[in-house]
Amino acid sequence: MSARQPLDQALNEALLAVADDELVCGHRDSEWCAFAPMIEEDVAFASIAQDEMGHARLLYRLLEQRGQGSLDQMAFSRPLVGYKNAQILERQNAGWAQAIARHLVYDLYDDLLTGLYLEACTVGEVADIARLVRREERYHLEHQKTWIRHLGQGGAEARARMNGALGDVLAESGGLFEDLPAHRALKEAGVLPGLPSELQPEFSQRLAALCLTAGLDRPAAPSGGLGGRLGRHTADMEECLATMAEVISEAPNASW
Amino acid sequence: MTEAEVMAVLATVNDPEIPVLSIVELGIVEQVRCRTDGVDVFLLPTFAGCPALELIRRAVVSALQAAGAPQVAVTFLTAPAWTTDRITQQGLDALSSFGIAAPGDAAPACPYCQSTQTRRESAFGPTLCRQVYYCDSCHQPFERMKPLTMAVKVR
Repeated sequence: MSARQPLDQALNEALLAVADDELVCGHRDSEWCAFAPMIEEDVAFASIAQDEMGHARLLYRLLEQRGQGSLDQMAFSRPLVGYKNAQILERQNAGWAQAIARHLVYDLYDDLLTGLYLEACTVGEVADIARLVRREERYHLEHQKTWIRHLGQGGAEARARMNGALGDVLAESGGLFEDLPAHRALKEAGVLPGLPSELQPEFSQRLAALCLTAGLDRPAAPSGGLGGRLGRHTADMEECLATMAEVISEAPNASW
Repeated sequence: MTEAEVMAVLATVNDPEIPVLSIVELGIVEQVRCRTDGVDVFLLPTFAGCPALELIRRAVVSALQAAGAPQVAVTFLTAPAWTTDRITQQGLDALSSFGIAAPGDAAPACPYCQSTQTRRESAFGPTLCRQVYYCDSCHQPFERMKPLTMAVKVR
């Protein structure tokens, strides 16, 4: 029992990062509702937001069962440093090109993370949740791929904006691939088959192939935006948390 | 109560978002277990973010309590995974009568004119489990249940 405790804690840490990524990504997605360039995209981003929140909920629920606090408290009432999402996901929405670029980067990363690592986790509950999550995420990935092709082939203005947004997003996406000591412990013990950083070559290869078919520039490797996994965040995260937690701060005992 | 009696009660509990469809037809009832003092019901969530899950839980509890089960415990399982293949034929017929085409790989028949000259307008619809289609024959937009099956391996 005692030999497993550090590993249990390591897995909790790794799962919290995944859950926080989903939550914060979902929140930014939800902010597109009523502001997207067309009504179909209001619906699509609202729907994607709901999916991401659902995935976060599955993971927080599992963490709750693993003794890590209550679901709502984990989602909305931790201090800023308690959140372990990658910084790129907390950045404020900054236009449609950024939204598509960021979501594509996240969905490509998430497909590899859930498909190669979490589905192969030796802890059954984690693998079960990963399977539920990835089959929904592939609709998101398909959606972003469609958009990136449209924008890449939509004329000089759209292509320039898409190239610019992908460059900006990638220059802050290194945090998705940041390894924690917990990840190394989990790999060493065989609980997860690899490290986040080891997903990066395949991620870059897939992204480059997509950019090629979309007529976009060859993308740079993800870099920068580090520290989110350690609880270090940008000022955008403070605003994000304040908005997400508005209801629970106003009415801590409200039920919904 | 016997398990068959419990299933009969559950067959009267409808999906809040698709009210013509019972949760038994939807295929989310994985198991029921009768105890001397009550009933355990094990359900499979459809889409992870479905906001109807809590409503379904409450509807199951109140329907079984009204039928005489003193204690009802509802548990949502994460395995096995619910897929759209679990919807019964009766359920698919009910969906169609509600104007929602059945999930599948091929172009769906339009629920209004039965033409298969249909195309997907968006993978995302008014609820997580629905997509938006358009019929090129009768020029009617309609919805289809979003196919949800297991994803193939990454490699």
